[in-house]
Amino acid sequence: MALKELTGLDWQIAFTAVSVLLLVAAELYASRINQGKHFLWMAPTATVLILAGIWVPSTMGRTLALDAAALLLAWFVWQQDKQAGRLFLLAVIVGSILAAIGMVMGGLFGSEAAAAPVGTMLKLVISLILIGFAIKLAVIPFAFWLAPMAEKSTAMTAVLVISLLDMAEFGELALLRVEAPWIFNSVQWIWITLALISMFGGALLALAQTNIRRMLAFSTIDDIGYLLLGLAAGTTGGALGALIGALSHSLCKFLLFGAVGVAEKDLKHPVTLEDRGLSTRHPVAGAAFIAGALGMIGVPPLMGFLGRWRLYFAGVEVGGLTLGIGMALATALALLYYVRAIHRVWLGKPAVETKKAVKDDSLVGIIFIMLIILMIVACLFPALLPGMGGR
Amino acid sequence: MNALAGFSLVILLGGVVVLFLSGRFLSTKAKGWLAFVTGLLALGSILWMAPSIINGQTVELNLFPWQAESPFLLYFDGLSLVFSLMAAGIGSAILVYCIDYMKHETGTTRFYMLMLTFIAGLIGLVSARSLIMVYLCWEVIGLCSYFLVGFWYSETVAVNGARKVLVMTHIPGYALLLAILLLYKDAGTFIWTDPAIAAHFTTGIFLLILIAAMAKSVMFPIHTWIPEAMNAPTPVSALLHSACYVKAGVYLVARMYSISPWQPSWNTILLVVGCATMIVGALFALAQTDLKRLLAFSTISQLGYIMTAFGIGTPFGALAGVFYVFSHGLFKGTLFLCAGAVQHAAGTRDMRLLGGMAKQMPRTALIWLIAAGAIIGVPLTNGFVAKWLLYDAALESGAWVVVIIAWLVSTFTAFYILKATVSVFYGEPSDYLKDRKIEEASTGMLTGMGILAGFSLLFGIAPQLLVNWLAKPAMTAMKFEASQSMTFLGFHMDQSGAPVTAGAVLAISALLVVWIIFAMRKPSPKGVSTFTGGDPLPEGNTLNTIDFSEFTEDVFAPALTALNPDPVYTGIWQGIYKFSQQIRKLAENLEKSPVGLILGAAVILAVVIWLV
Repeated sequence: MALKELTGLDWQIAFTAVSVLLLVAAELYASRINQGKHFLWMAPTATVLILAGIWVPSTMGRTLALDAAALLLAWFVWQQDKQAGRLFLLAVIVGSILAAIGMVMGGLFGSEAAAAPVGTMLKLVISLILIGFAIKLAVIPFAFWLAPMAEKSTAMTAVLVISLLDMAEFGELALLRVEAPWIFNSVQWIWITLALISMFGGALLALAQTNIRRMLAFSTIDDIGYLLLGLAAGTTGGALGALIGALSHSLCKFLLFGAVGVAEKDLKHPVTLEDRGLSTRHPVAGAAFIAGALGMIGVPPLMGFLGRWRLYFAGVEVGGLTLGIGMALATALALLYYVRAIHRVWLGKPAVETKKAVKDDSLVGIIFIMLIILMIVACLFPALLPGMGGR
Repeated sequence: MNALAGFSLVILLGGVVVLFLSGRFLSTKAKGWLAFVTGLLALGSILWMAPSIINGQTVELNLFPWQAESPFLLYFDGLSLVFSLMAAGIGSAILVYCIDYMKHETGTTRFYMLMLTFIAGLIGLVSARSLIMVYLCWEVIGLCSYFLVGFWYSETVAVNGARKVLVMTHIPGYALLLAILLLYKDAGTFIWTDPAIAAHFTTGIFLLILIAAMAKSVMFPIHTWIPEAMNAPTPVSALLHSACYVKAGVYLVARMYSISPWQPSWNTILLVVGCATMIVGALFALAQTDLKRLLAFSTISQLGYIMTAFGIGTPFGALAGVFYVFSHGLFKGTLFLCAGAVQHAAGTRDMRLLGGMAKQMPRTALIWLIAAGAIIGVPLTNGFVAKWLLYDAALESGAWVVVIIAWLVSTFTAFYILKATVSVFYGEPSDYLKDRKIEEASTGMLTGMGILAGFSLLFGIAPQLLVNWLAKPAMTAMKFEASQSMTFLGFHMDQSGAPVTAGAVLAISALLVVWIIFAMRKPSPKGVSTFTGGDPLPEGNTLNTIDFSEFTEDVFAPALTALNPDPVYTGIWQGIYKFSQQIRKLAENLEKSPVGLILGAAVILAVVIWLV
C-alpha cells in the first residue's frame, strides 16, 4: 500500500494490533466496571467493522464499513444519552454523506487511481471531502458532537469512538493524502489553518472545562489538529508522525478515560475539577492518567514523542520557526490543562469524603501498567512497530 | 573500550527493572542497598573509561538502532566524563545517604527507580551524540524531577512544587526541540559532531538552546521553580536540585563550545544572564528563613557564577566553569544532605525554630562547616579554588564588572551561609527544640555527607587532581587550549599579577574565617555578639534569623519585588484562562444549534476554497 511505501509504517497491521489490544483491554475493563448492557457484543462488532474499514481493498467498502461502525456506536451512545446520541448520529450521517459524495464526484471510489478533477469540480470535491472529514474527525468548528458523547457515554464507549473509530477515519484520510494528494496540495494552507484552529481552539476549550471527560474530548480535538497538520504538510515525516501520533492517541485515550472511569465508579459522580487527591485512593489509575496525559503531549519516553517530534519537524519544514513556535505554544496550553487536571483531581490532599482507602482493582491496574510499559517500550524500540524496522 | 560506553546505562536501567520486579519482596533498606550498589557499579563503569578519555580519546558506541534518523549513539569525551562522574559519583554518595534517610518511607520502590532513572537520564544526556537523543534524555530527567518533587503526592505543597517544576522547565524545553529540528532541517543530521551542524549553528539556534538551558539551570527569570521544589525529600534536593539536574543546562551551554565557535555577542548574553542570576539568587537567599529554600536560592546564585565563568569565553573561563560545576555539586550536595539530616532530627527546617544543634549533631555540624566554607570560598576548599579561577579568568579578560559583581555576591553568600550556620548550629537551642530529642545523623547518612565533604576538601587542597583529570579533558572537548597548570591549594597559576593579589586575599581571608569559626564554636551565654551599625542591642538581645530576614526584606524590598517574575507568569496564566472562558462561551452559544453551525461553517469554508 502506498501509505506504507511513503512512511515505512504498516498502518494496517499497527492499527489492527492496537485495536485488538484495546478491545481486549476494554472487555476486561468492562468485566470489572460496567460499560452498558450491550457492551460485551457491541465492542467486538464495532471493532470488526472498524478493522474492515481499514483492511477492505476498495475505498467504497472501507467507507461503508467505517460508516456502519459509526452508526453502531452512535446507537450505543444514544442508548446511554439521547441528546449525545443524536448529535453523534447527526455528525456521522452528515459527515459520511458529504465525504462520500465528494469521493464519488472525485472518482475516488473507482478501482483505479483517479486523476484530479479540475476547475469548479475540484473545488467542490475538496470542499465536500474536507468538510465531511472535518465533521467525522471533530475538527473545530465541526466538533460539536464529541464533548457530549465523551461526557455522557461510558468510559470504554468513549474509547471505542475516539481511539478506534476516530483514528481509523484519520487513517482513511491519510490514505487519501497519498492516493489523491490534490485534495491537500491545492488548498494546503486551508488544511493547515483548520489544523491550527483545532489545535488552539481545542486546547483553549479544554482549559475552560471543569468536567474531566469534556476536557479529554477537547484534548482529542486539540490533538487532531497536530495530526491534520502532519498530513497537510505533505512530507514523509509529517505523515509518519501523524500515523504514530494516531496510534499513541488511541493508547493514551484508553488510559485517560479508563482512569476517569475507575474514579467515577468509586465516587458515583462525574469527575470534575472539584474532586481532590484521587490518587490516594486509586494510585494506579492516577499513574495511568498522568502517563496518558504526558503521552498526549508527546513527552518522552512515551510513544507519543516519536510522532510528536516528526509533527513538529513537519511544521518547521512547512512554516519555519513561526509555525514551530505556534505548535509549541499550543502544546504549552495542553500541558497547562493536563497539569491542572492532574494536580487538582489526582494529586494533593484528598477531599474529606475520599480519605478512606480502597483497594484498586488489580486486573484494571495490570492493564494500565502494561499499557504504560508498552508505550515506553515503543518509544525506545520503535522498530517493534510493524514496518518501522528501518525507521 | 568502546563497548564500555553503554555499561553505565545498562546497569542503571537494569537496576530500575530489578527494582520494579522485586520491589514488593524487598525491605526498604534492601531497596536502598540495591540502588546504591547499582549506582556504584555505574560509577565503576565510568571510571573504567576515564583513563582513555583523560588521555584524549573518545569512547563511542552505537547502543542500538533507535530510529532511522538517529541511532542511539553514545559518545564520551572529557565534558561527558565530568557530568557522568557527577551523576554517578555524587549520585552514589546520595544513594548511600538514602538508605537510612528513606527507611521509614513508603513508596521507596518508586523513589529508587526514579533516582536511578534520573542518573541514567543525565548520563544519557551528556553522552548522547544525537541531538534528538539529547532531547529525549533532557525530558526524561525533567520527568524524574517532576515525579521526585511530587514524591509525597498526597501533600499539597509537594505537588504544587512539582507542578511548577514541570510547567517551568518543560515549556522552555520546546525551545531546545525547535533548535534541534531547525538544525536537522538545515544540516540534515542529528549528530552534533557532524561539521554540517556547526555550519548551521546560528545565533537563533544559540538563543533557543540557551532558553532551555536557562530553565533547567535556574537562570533569572526562569528560576522560580526551584524554591518550590524544596518540598521534595532532601536526597532529591541534593541530587537533582543542587548537584546534577540543574547542571543539565550548564552542560548544554558548555557543549555549544564543542559544536561551534562562539560569537562575541553570545558571550555577552551569557555574562549578563549569569551576573543577573548571581545577584538575584543571593538577594533572595538573604531573605529566607527556611533552610532548604535558602539553599535553593543559593543554588540559583551559584549557577549564576558557573554560567558567568562559561560566558567569559576564554580557556581560563572554561577551566573555572568546569571546576566550579563539579565543585558546586560536591559542596552544595553536602549542604543539602546536612539540611536533610537537620530536618530529620528536628522535624523542621525553619531556621527560626532551630539553634544550638552543633551540640547534639557535632559531626553533621562539622561536615556542614566544611561545605559552608567551600561555598563561601574559604581556602583549603574547592570553593575557594573555583572562585579564584573565576576571578582570575574575569581579570584576565578585562571583565571588571563581572569581578565586582562576583565579589559583591560573594559577600552576600558569606552573609546568608553564616546566618544559616549560626541559626541552625550555634547559640542556645530554641524553645521548639528544648523538648525534642535531637540525635546525630546515622552512620549511613554521615557517610554520604562525609564523602562529598571529603572531596570538597581534597579538591581544595589538591585542585590539580580535578584540573588534570577532569577539567583539562573537558576543556579539550570544548575546543579550548588546555595548557593551564596548578599546584597544591591552587596557589600557583600561570597568570601574572593575579596570584599576588589572590595570595594576599587568601591570607587575610583565611585568618578572618578561622577567627569567625573559632568565635562561633566558643560557647557564649549571651549568644553571638553582633555589630548592629548603631547603638548596641539591649542585654541578651542578638540578631537572629528573623531579624536578619526582616532586615533584608526591608532594605531590599523594592528589589525583591521587582526581581520576582512570578507575578508576570501568574498574569499570563490568568489572561489565558479568561480568554479560554470567553472562547468557551462562544462555543457553547454556537453549539446550541448544531445544524446551523455545520451549515454556517461549511458555507464559510466552501466560500474560502472557492476564492482560492
